[in-house]
Amino acid sequence: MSQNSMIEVKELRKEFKTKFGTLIAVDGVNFTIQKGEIFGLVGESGSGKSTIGSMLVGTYGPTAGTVTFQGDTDISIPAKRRSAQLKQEIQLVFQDPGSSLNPRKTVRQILTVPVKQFAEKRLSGQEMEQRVQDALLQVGLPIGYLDKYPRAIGGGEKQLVCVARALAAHPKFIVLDEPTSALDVSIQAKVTNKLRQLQQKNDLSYLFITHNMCLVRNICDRLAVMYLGNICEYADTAEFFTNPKHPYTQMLLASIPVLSDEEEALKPQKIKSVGEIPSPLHKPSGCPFHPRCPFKKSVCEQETPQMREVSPGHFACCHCI
Amino acid sequence: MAEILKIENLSVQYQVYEGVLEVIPGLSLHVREGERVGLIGETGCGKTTVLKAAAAVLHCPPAKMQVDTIEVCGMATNSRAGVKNVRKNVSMIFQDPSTALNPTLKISTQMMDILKSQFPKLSRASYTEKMMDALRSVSMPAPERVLDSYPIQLSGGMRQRVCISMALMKDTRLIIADEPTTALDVTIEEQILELLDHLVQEKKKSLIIVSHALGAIRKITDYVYVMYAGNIVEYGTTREVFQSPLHPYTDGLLAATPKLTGDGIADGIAGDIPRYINPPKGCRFADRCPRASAQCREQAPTLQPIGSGERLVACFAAQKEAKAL
Repeated sequence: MSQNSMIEVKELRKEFKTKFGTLIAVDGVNFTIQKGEIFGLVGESGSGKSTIGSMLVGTYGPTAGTVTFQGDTDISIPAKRRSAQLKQEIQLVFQDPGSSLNPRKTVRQILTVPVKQFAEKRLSGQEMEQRVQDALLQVGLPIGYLDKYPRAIGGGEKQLVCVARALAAHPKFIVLDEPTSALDVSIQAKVTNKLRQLQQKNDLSYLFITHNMCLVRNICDRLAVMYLGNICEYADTAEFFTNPKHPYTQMLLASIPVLSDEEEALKPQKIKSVGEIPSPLHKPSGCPFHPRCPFKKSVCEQETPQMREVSPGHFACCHCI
Repeated sequence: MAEILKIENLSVQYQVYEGVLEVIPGLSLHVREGERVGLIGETGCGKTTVLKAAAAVLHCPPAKMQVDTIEVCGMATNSRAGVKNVRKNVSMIFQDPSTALNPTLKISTQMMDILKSQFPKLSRASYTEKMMDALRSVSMPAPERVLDSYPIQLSGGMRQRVCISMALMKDTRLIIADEPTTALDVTIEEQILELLDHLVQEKKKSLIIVSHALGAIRKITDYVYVMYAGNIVEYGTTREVFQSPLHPYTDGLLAATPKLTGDGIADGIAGDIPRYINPPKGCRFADRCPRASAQCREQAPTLQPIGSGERLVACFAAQKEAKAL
């Protein structure tokens, strides 16, 4: 198992101290991302999916639990205590390309930073230029873009520059935090397909954080659904969409607005969406989903359910299964 | 059926530093009584500009607007009385519920303003009763508490419910919803859409809803307009447009949307929306269109009816094809 694993997360927990008390953003999460896999992390806002992404890239360390990289390296530490090699191997792409590129730098200047930072030796000007060009060509943008400023290029292209910047470091693992949700559909398709191609070509692994279930269906190999800091279901994509077990995932799937009758038929039979996701400051006792759950039993209010394997590779966290 | 909203030949330009943006070259649309109409299109295609023009809240300048007619409930909006008529008959729901409400006023104060404009002299108790009713109609949990809250104390879904209840509280005939669910999560989105749908039907109002979320539009509208770069490119019943799109843009848009069936995503539509300064004189979609011909680059296609039903499309290739059949 650990031979093939890129990221192994065990009992990961993150708390934030706020004025109003302790906010438990991530509450004991376990999952493994295999080498060469696109792993989807889905959930509504406030479910803790971005917090997990931030911990993997080292924006901050976890409160408890461990994250292991490639089977042996412990990376449950913030980035400033990580080795240069580790920083190179794990890269990040943000949600909003408009605010993650420096508006006062040209694309060339932006891409030069990782090329220079992570070069194995001192590069001559020509070598540097060559590598910067390679990085841009890799994502399918023309060389002419090197001298443009971010404001002069479209949203999708900006996001591709962000991807090129991440790839310029030659990483093994990239955290994509909602990489396409700021983009229009026609552009989203292009960026998503490019991401997939690059993953296959460079033998990368992705953690793909998103709230768009249809996107996950088409790009991820496996996925986990989060609700209020817990993973409630975790399976292969195909298995997950044909055979969802957890009431929350069923509700989530039933709520997706779709485009054709054919897709309508694929949704689980109507579970009516009720209530709202509670504040993580006041997490419900027992199963966090119980206030919204149509199948609630008395045990759900008292005991936190444990993750159970319902079929090989398919885990769900519910008392009723 | 009577037309609640009629816009004919609307053109809007914006004067900016770089020159004149010819955003909308000439657009007509109509919403009949009791209809639920969707307007779909991507960022920057002028959807919100159209809505603002319809609700008489388009700021001129910087915008320069020319129009043959904009009528709301049979009355033109280009006079003071016309604008008053719009205020009386149209209510709007905005995209972002966190900026649509005044953060410094309690919900009760903001709702009271609306009530006072319609029922000037009532007792305090009956105002409160009306506000509670409005909040209950959007299935708001604990309405008393909500009335006494500031917007920041409510969640996004609750704020949008407040906005919807405010829009429905007044006795208006047309509701304009500008991306009402974009800022919300998918399970909340579903609740809000169902609510909107239910209330619009129950109170027999007309609805025009703008969104780039195609699924949401499909769910709650009868007719749909597809917009691209300031033009309406296709119109028809929602069912027909989603099932058999005629315009290559609609087709590309539907194909690019990820599906639940999971057979991959088509490669999107190449290129970007054209710049509005000196836009192409032919079809504005020609540069991205897989079916573009020389004619498309020379001449702008107009909306032509297709078949016998209510179906319009502005594309030379699609029109020729329909004629051949």
